Amino acid sequence: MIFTTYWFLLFAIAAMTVFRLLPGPVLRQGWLAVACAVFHWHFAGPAGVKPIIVLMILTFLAGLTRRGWVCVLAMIASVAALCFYKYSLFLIGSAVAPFSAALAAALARLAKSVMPGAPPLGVSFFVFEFVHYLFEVRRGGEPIRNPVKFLLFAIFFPSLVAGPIKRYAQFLPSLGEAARSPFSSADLAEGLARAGLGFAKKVLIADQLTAYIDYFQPHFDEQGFLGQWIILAAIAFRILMDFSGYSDIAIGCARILGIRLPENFNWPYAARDLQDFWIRWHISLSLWIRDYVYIPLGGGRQGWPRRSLNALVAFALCGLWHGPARHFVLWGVYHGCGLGLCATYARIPQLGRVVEQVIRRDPVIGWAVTQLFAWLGWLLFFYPTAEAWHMARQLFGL
Amino acid sequence: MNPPTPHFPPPARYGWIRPRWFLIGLAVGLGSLAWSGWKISRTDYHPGFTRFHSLISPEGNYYPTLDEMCAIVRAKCRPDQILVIVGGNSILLGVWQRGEDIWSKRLQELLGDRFCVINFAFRGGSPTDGGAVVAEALRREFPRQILIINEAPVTNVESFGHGPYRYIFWQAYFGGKLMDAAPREKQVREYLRDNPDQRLPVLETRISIWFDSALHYHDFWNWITFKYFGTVPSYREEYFPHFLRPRRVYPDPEVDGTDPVYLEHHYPVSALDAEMRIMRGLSAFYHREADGRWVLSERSTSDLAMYSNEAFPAPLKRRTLVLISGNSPYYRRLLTEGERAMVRQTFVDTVGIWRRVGYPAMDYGWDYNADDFGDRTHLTKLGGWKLAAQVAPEVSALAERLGYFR
Amino acid sequence: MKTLKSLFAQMPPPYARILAAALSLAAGLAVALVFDYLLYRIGLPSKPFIYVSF
Repeated sequence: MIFTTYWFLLFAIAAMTVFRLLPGPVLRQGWLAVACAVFHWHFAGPAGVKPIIVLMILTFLAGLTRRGWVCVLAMIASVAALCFYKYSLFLIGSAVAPFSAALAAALARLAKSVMPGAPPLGVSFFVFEFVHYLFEVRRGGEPIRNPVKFLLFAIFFPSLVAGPIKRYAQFLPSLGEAARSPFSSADLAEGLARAGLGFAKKVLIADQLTAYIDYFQPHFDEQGFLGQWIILAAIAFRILMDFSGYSDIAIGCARILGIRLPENFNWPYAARDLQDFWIRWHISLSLWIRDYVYIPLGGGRQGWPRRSLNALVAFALCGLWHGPARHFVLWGVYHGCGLGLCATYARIPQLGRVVEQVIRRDPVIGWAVTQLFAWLGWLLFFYPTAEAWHMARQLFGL
Repeated sequence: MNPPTPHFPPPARYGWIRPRWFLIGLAVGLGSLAWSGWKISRTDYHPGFTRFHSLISPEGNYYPTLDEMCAIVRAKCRPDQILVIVGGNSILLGVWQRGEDIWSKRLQELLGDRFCVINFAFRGGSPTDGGAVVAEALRREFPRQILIINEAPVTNVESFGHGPYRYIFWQAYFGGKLMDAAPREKQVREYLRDNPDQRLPVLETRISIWFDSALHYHDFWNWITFKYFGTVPSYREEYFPHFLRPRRVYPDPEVDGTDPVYLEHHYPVSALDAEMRIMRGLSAFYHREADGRWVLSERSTSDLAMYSNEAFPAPLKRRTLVLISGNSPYYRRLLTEGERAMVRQTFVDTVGIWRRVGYPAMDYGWDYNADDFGDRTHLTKLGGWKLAAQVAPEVSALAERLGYFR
Repeated sequence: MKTLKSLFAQMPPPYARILAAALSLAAGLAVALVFDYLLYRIGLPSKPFIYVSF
C-alpha cells in the first residue's frame, strides 16, 4: 500500500508544507503539479508513466476539440488501453483458449512481449476519470483549457492510486479555492484527523484482521459454527476497513491541501437494502457506473426486465473492473442479480407483497438479509468460486 | 456549461474539532511519545536476557533495535569486565539447547567474572549481523571487547549483514555509529548498483531511520510489545492465536536436543540427501591434484580472502574470533574417504585464510560425536558445552594478547 | 455525530467550548498515537519472512 510507506509520509509532509508556504495560485498549482508528477514517477516508474502520459495528452486534446466523435474515439482509446494492460491475458485465456490453445499461447506470448510486467499504476482510475471527462465534454461540458489544471485533475496524488474517482466539475473549483485561500488550521486539523482515522482503520484493524484471516481461513472446515461466521465477519470488515481507510487517507490528505474530494463510503454495513448498499459502498464507483454504464445502456427507462438486464451488465463490468478473473465477474453478476431481485421482488405474485410488508414492518430483517447477501458475496470476491461455494455451504451446515 | 455534480453524500465534518486544541494535542502526543521512546531506547527491559529466541526476534515478527541491544549490554556488562559478544547464526544462537543450558552461558561460567558474555546471534544470521554491529557501535564505550562469530567453510561474508537482519546494520550505518571503512562503503555501493530492486527498500529504511531518530517509535512500540501487549502478530503458528499477549510471557521455546523425545527429529531420513549434497557440494570449490590432495581453486581462494579481509574494519579484526562450524559425524561417516579428506581440507583452508587476513580463527566439531549435534550443524547441550570448553581458552588468550588484562 | 452536535447545542456556551477543546485535545493525542504506531508498523513486514527466507 503506497500510503503506508515512509517515502510517502516524507513526500506528503514536504509537498503539503511547501504548497501552503508558497504565495499565489500559480506557484501553488505549479508546485502541486510537480509534486504529483514526482509521486507518480516514483511509484509507477517509467513503464507505468508513459502510457498514462499518452492517454492524458490524448484526452486533453480531444476535450479541447469539443467534437463528439473525437471524444468518443479518445474514450475508446482509453478503454482499449485499460483492456490491453489489465485484461488482455484474461480475455485471451477466456475467449481464445477454448477454441485454440496454440493461438491463445501465441497471443499471450505476444501480449507479454509488449506489456510491462504489471499494469500501469492506477490505470483503472485514470481511465474512469478520462472517460468521465470526455463523456461530459461530449455532452456539452466545459473542457479544461489549462494543461496544469488538467494534469492536476489527472494525477492528483491523494486519489491517484485508489480513488475516490473524481468529477472535474467538482474538483477544479475546489482546487482553485485551495490555491487562492490562505493557510487554514481547520483544514489542517480536519485533514489530519481524517487521515489519522484512515491509517487507524488500515493498520490497527484491517492489517490485524488480515493476519487473523490468513491464519484461520486455511483451516475453515475445522472451525466451529461460530468460528466460521467470525471468519466471514472478519473478511467483511477487513475489506471495509482497508478500502474505506484508504479513501479516508486520500480525503484527509486532500483536505490538508484545502481540496475536497468526494466521499467514498457511508456506513455500508448499515444499508437496509442492496440499492442502499451500493449508494453507501465505493460511492464514487457506483455513481460512475450509474452515470457512464447503466444510464447509457438505458437505465430504468424501458421497463423492469430491461432495467434488470442493464443492472446485470453494469455490475458484471463492475466485477470485472476489480480484477481480471472469473470470480470477480461472478461477484459482479451476483450483485447484479441481487439488485434485479431487490428491484422486482415486490412484483412476485402474493409472496412478493408479503415479503415487502414484512421488511417494511421490521427494517432489521431487510438489513440482515442485505448484509448476509453482501457478506456472502465477499467469499466470491476473495476466493476461487469452488472454495467460496464450499465455505458458503459450511456456514449453513450444508 | 458544466456537467451536473452527482449526489455524493456531504463530506464528513468534524465541526466539533477546535483546530488549535487538536494541533496542540497532536504535538504534545508526538512529543511525549518521542520522549518516552528516547528514554526507553536507553533502558534494558529484558531482565535475565539469554538470547533473542524465536518469539523475540524477526522470526516472530519482533525486530530488536540496535539501541535495545546496546541497552542490554550496558545493563549486563560492568565497565571493569571484558565484553564478549556472540554473533553469527543459529548454531551460536544455541538451537537445540534450552536457555538454561545454552553454550554461551557455559562459556560465561568458564571465563569467570572478568568477562561478560552476551549472545546476540540470530537464526540465519551472518557473521556481520546483529552482534557484530552492536560490538562495533559500542567500540568506544566498551573498548575491551571480543566478538565471536561463526560461518560455514568456504563462505564469502558480506561486510554489511544479511537479509532479514540487515536492518540492524542499516540502523547503525545510517545512524553514524559505525567506523569509516572504505571496503565496506564500496560493497554497499556495489550492492545497490547491482541490485536495483533493493534501492527502494534501502531508501525506505533510510527514511525510517531518519524518522526514528526524531521520534524513537521503534523502541517505544517494541517496549509495549514486549512488556504490555502484542501490537503486531507473530506468525509463529503455535503462538499466533495469542498474539496480543506481551512477548515477555512467552518462554524460550528452544528444546534440549539430548532429550530422547526429540532424538527422532535429529537426523530425519528426509533431510539426508539435502545434507549430503551440501557437504559434497563443497567439492565445487576444489580440484584434486594427481597425488590426491584437494586444492582450493584460485578464484575461491582470492574471493574468500577478499571477503574475509573486508568483512570487518581493519582495527576490529584482531578482536574478532572466527569459528568455522563443523558437521556432524552422522553425515560425515557417509562420505567416501576422498570426500572426507576434501571436507576436512575446506576447514583447514578456511581457517588458514581468515588467519592470514588478520583474524584469530579456529574450527570445531571434527572430533565431536553424533550426540553432540542436533542435526548436521547445530549443537546439543553436550556439543555446546564442548564448544564452550574449546572457545574459553581461546578467548582468554585473545584477551591476553589484546592487553585487556592490563 | 448528531447526538454530539445536539449535546453541544444544549450546553451553555462556556461548557460547550471547554468540552469541544477537551475532545479536540483528546483527538489530537489519539491521532498522534496512531501516527506513531503507523511509523512503527510500516517498518515491519506485513507477511512473515521466515517461511520465505529459510
